[in-house]
Amino acid sequence: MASKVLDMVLDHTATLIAARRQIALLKEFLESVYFGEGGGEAPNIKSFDTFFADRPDDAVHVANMRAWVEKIFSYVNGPSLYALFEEIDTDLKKVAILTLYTPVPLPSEEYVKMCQMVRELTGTRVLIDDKVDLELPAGGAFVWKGVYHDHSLRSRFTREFDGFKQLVQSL
Amino acid sequence: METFFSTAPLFWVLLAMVGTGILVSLVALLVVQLRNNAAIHHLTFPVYDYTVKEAQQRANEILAKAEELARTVIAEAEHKSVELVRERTRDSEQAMAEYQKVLAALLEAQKQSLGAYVSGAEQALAALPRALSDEVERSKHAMAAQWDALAKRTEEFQATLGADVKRAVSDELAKEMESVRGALATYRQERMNLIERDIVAILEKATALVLKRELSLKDHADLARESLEAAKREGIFTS
Repeated sequence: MASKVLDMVLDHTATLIAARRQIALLKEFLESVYFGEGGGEAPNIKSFDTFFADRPDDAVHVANMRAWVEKIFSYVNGPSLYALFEEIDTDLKKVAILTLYTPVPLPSEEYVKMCQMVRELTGTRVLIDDKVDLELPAGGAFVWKGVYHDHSLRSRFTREFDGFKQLVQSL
Repeated sequence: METFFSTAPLFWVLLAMVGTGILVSLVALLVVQLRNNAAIHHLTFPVYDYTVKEAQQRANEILAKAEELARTVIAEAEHKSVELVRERTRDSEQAMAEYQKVLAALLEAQKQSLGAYVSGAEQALAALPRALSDEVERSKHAMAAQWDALAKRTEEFQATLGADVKRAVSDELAKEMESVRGALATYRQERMNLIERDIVAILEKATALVLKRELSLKDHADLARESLEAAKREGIFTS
């Protein structure tokens, strides 16, 4: 059951932060349904919309979740809710992470394209952990399987400086 | 004495009768007491039972209410914690926006000062070859002067000493020349290394500042994607 929920999340997110946020929002909503002051109704898309109606900060995540959240309501129930989310957290830690460093934060569509590319290359479910490195001039550096790779303009500049060095040495 | 003994049996009879009466009344009293206790117990037990059951029921009701209250408190605490996190996130985003504004201003100021520094460094670099050759020229002249002075002393020394002394001095002079040449080469190399280190750092910083200001978000995204493509060509993701 936990794997089904996590599959839904991973199919609709590209970054680690988005995945974590959507899981937290789902948990918050289900807690209010099963343990809140409501009448004990089963969760449905209408109550989901009502719950997040006045949350403009999460509007993007909520809009993304509407595409899949209704499908998982049949998998959850009150007594096993916390066990389910503990299992989801454990499974999320096993997902492969690509830590990507860029000089500026990029639009989310770009992360989706890059995540899709890496998933096709590796054949595994990958999430991007996006970080900003102000020391990078342009391009990107990333960490994959614990190894740091610098393919930014900084590394190219260092490689191509040899020509300039030779010029100075010939003087 | 005869009177006493004639009435003695009557006294004892009376005494016996009184004792018997007392005994009988005591027994009757005991029986009545026992029956009363049984009756009291029979009357009060239902009341006791009812009281115990009612107290138990009340205790169960209180426990149920307490559990319900606990669940409500937990749900409310969760909701409040999420709100708190959201507020903190909003605050940190505002702080981030402020930080970025200040950073942009700092970068602009740094770019201007660095531009001046870069042009100064470029001028210094342009003047460097001539400075180096002047230095080498001066060293050559100094060395030539030294050599001249040394040659003169040698001639004088040679004039006063024999042929063996002359040869020994010549050997010594050749070694001295070799070490001077080595010192010059080392000096030249050290100066080159110094220039190399500083120029690399200056050009890196200048390039970083210029690119960050001039490139659009799309350009940054394209370059980031190109980095992943380069990694793909190197086989990093398939190894």
